[in-house]
Amino acid sequence: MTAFVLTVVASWGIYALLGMGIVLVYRTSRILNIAGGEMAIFIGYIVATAIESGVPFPIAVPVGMGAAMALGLAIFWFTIRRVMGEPPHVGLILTVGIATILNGFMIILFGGGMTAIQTDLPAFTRIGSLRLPTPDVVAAFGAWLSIAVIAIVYRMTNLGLQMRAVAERVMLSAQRGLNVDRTVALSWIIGVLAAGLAGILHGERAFVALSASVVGISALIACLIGGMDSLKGVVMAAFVVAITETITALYIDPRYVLIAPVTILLVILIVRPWGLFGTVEEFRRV
Amino acid sequence: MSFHVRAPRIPSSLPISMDRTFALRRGRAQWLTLALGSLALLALPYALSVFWIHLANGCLIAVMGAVALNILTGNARLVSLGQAAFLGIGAFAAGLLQRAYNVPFPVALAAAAAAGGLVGLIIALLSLRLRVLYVAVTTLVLHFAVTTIFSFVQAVFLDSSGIILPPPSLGLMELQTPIQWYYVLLVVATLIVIGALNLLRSFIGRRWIAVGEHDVAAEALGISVKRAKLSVFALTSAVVAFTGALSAYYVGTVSFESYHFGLAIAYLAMIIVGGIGSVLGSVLGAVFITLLPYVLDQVFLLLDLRIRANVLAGIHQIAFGSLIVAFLLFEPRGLAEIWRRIRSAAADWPFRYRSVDRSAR
Repeated sequence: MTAFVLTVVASWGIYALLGMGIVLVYRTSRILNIAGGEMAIFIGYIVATAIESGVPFPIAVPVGMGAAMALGLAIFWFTIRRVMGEPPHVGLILTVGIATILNGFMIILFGGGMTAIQTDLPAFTRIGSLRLPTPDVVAAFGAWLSIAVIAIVYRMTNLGLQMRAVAERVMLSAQRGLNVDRTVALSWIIGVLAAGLAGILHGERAFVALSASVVGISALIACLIGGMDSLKGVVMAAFVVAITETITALYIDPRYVLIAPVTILLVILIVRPWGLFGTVEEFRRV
Repeated sequence: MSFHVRAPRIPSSLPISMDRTFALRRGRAQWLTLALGSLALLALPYALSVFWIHLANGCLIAVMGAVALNILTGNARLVSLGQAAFLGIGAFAAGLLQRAYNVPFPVALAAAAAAGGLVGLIIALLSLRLRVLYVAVTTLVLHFAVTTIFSFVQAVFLDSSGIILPPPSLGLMELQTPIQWYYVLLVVATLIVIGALNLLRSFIGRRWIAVGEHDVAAEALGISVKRAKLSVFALTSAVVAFTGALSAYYVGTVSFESYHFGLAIAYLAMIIVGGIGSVLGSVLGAVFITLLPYVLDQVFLLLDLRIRANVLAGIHQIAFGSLIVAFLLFEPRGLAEIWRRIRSAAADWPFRYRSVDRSAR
């Protein structure tokens, strides 16, 4: 039972973290990032390869985080910057292109095979009388720590205030002297960093492989259930996705984990298309 | 601030009379090009080796799928990431019917189209309440749901290799050789292209375009947004599923592994590279993207670079992705626009541009 709870908490944290990355980016730039899963696994591969070549885990993780931030900045600078303000499908298809490019690089640079992020920690951790698998403990702890840090930055710092302002009203914040480009760039850096952290933790807990980028699909589903523009919503919805997936994997078949979240998503899309916590957007009618 | 606003579209020719404006072919030169082009297409298989005929057939199949996707995504602006799913729905519908009841080929194709249309209609019903992004994600989710179902069906009810389809018979003859297939596919692809051109200049297609451009404005003009979205989704999905069934018969097997997300991305690349919202663009893009991996392989072979197969797969993906990104950023109207520029430059030579009264013609 404790193992079950821990599994749910760990995958909940990872989906929520990745989903937060997607939502942060969506709020400021209005671009739906389909490539979240690929970004996560790309960073996961970097860390896994670094560790395989002898870099210790505590150093490899900051390296991966730095790579994620650089990736976020590069994506913003070379592509996103140029499509801001275009119709929404342009940004969406752009991220599909980015996902494909990342996939290609994962195949060429890392072979695209299955690997894992090894830590030197013992296989089990004792907390009181409980004996828990360490990878899950690390993943749960890391994910929820990252979520807390991002939430604090977003809620309590000037940086977060600026990002919220841009998310709320682009024109108004630009008129009040806010550097919109810089703020959007920052949100992409943080967004890809969140995705990268999720990838590292997923690799540490389960495995790194090309096919692992389906975590991006689970996270996207969580974003949509929670409401694309709500951080609170995505964290709540990630729980629903995580628990249904864990139960499916445990009792039915790990291959069919997506069925339950997809069904819930379809119901949500029918009754509340803007998501559980998203801003209610009525269709304009004549 | 870098919020660019695209300049409004300037029509390339000012309408002087309606029948001229709506005509697909204008003037003798275009009829001549058409005649020469058709002759070349008809003679093509006799100039190619079997390998390249197979590639040509692949191009024709891609043309059918891309034309339909481009109407949905390019003209009606409903971004679909479910292309592979709809191809798979068609293939599995035809394959399962063939396996269970041994139905004739045309019936299987019709059933595939009906299945695709039905699923398209359901997605369209969902999309009525959703904005562009949500439609895209719904189709993305559809993709993963459908492929999961296919893998389940295949694992539980079928052999691990999927369904094996017999060579289909068309009335008197059996379709077996690639050359026979080439002519059948050529006819079907031509019908679909002409159908798309005609639909897009009829009131139905113009409604789709109006809804895609601005749904509120379209509704204010008295267009039923609901009916437009339902019809465009159902019709294009039916065509895509039909294409999927046809290509499954051509390949001879149906297996869920063929309908991976990369296929959907390849089709998306076709319409982006070819030109969003242009039938000519779909054709150019389909041929370009289908040939690209093989041309790349040939280039590497010529350069005598020994590249491992999986690295090659990576290079193909990077090429696809970079093309999507590059065309979106630098040539959003795609190859069709490049082609138009080349053509008008040739027509106006030695001048840089035509005077207004000539361009009106």
